[in-house]
Amino acid sequence: MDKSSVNIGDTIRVTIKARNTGSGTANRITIDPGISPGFTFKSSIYTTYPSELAVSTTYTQMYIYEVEAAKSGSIQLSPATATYSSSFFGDDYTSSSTRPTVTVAEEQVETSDLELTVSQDKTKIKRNEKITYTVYVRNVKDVPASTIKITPVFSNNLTYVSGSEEVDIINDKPIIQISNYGARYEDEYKFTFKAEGVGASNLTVKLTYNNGVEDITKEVPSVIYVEEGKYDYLSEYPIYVYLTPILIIVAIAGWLYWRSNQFRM
Amino acid sequence: MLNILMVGTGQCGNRILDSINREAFGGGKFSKYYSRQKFPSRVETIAVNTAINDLKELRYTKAKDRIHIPNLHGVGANRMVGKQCFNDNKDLIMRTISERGDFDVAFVITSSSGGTGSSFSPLLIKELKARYDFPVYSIVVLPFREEGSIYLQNSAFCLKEMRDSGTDGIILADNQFLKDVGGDIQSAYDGINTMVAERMLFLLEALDSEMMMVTDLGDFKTVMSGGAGFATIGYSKGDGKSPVRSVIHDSFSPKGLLFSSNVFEEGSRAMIILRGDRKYLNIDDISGEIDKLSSHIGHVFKGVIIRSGEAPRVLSVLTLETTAELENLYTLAVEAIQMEKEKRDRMALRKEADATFSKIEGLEPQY
Ligand SMILES: Nc1nc2c(ncn2[C@@H]2O[C@H](COP(=O)(O)OP(=O)(O)OP(=O)(O)O)[C@@H](O)[C@H]2O)c(=O)[nH]1
Ligand SMILES: [Mg+2]
Repeated sequence: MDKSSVNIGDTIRVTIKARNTGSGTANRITIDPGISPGFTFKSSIYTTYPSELAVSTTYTQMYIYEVEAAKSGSIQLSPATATYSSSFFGDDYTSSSTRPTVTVAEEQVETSDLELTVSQDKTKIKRNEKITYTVYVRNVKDVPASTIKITPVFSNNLTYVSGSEEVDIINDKPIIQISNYGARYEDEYKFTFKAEGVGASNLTVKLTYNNGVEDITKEVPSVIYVEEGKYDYLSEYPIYVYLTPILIIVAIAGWLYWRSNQFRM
Repeated sequence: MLNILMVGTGQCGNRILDSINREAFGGGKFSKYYSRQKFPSRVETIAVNTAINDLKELRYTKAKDRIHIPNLHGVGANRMVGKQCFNDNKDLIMRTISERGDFDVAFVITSSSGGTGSSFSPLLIKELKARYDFPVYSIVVLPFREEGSIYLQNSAFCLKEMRDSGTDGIILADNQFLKDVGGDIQSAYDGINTMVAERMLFLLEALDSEMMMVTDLGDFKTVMSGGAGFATIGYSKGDGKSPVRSVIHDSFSPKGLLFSSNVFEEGSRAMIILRGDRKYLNIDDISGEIDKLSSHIGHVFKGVIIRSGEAPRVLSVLTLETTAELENLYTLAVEAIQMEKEKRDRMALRKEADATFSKIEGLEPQY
């Protein structure tokens, strides 16, 4: 075989050679080149092989044909078969050739590729403050992508508050769904969250799309640290903790007012 | 429980009444906001004045207990104007008192020298005596002697009218005698008022205590009916170390009295109340000291109020047969009246001077 690695549509030239390893001449030789599935026969180049082969240490060229690779994969050729008769007994014999393997590469299909970049306006926030993530998506190929979904996946100490007009709320969660992303198209989306709980908050922007052949998922994770707000410790107490002293103060003030009025003329 | 009426007339009377109310709250500046009055009896306090500003200045007397008699701005120490004013407004005052229910005893507190209090009080007492059966005692504050001739003459007439009003006794307090209690005039007033107030509260306790061996209103009446109608009150507080004998003695010595008097000489009847922890109140000590007094003046009522843990305090009420100090005051007052009269005569001469000028009336200078 002139090549062992080809692309679909490439032509491969297969040369069949034979050698008599016996003790007498082989007569009435016929060669069946054998057609391998996955290849399309194109033409026979050389078919005028000798009908007799004396015992020899060297190979004799017998047959040459060309096929075209039709299917990708690692394909083993079907063996070529030689049929011959012995010079002594006139009996018929068959012998099969080796089976070389051809790797046929996949045909190159142009697919789209979306690039995903996420940036955030802060890396540290205080509780009850807001943080905005900017999601930048760019199609770097000349092929359009379809069924684009951009989903921020975030821990529950963040609450989604607002975002770009493309953002839909489905099942209480923000999502951007775009049916088609044209060649070289790019766009930017914003998601704003409010920090409700203290600690590290994870937010992963997940992008899924169909590149023309298959569904692709890309993710960009990020972490934000939420610190205690300035007066946060206040809200950590139940309401009566505030209400009780306020009521007491109001009662005392009321009493003082009423009492001093009794003594004012 | 006794029902006690206390009326303070004029600025001095009002302010002493206010001090009594304050002491009843406990004495603290803000006590009225956090405590109740600790009168042993049901006490109604009423402040009467012609000057609204004097009434407004009060801090511990409820607004509903202040009666303003509209007469411009006080009566300017003029007792004539004061009497007229009382008569014009008597119904308002008497109605307010009658609305406060029945009483067992009344006290009328006033200065003798101002215009309002000194003129209202004798007339008020007269009205009370005419309408009610309960005894009416008066607490009269005498002026600083240097306050002027009008105050002296007012005091002389006021005291006389008080005697004639039918009051059951006049308890004297003397600013002049007590002037050392404070530096400036305001703190002297406050100090004197507090002295009067603490004695009055002690007295109420002595009249209205449910304990054994105590005096009561009947004893007080008997004491007050003795003498020439004048009385004073003494008070002393021991430190727990000095013997109770000396505490008793201090209460009727110049140190404890509200009015200058040699009680051994001038006293007529007395009531002595001791209060404090039982351990300080040795009966022999008490009797020894009290017997000394009664050997001079006659009968002395005594009462004991047990208060565990308290240092001994003594209150003495003394009626006086004579009083040299009052004599002195009247001498001064007569001089003052004379002086005022001479002044008036001189004014009449001035009028004659006017007549001198009238000779040129109708004439023009000629050149
Ligand atoms: N101890 C004492 N004496 C006072 C006080 N205020 C006034 N005085 C004395 O009372 C006399 C004046 O009488 P007031 O009671 O002020 O006069 P008033 O009765 O209000 O009469 P007018 O003001 O003349 O209408 C003076 O001799 C003062 O020294 C006070 O708070 N305590
Ligand atoms: Mg006045």
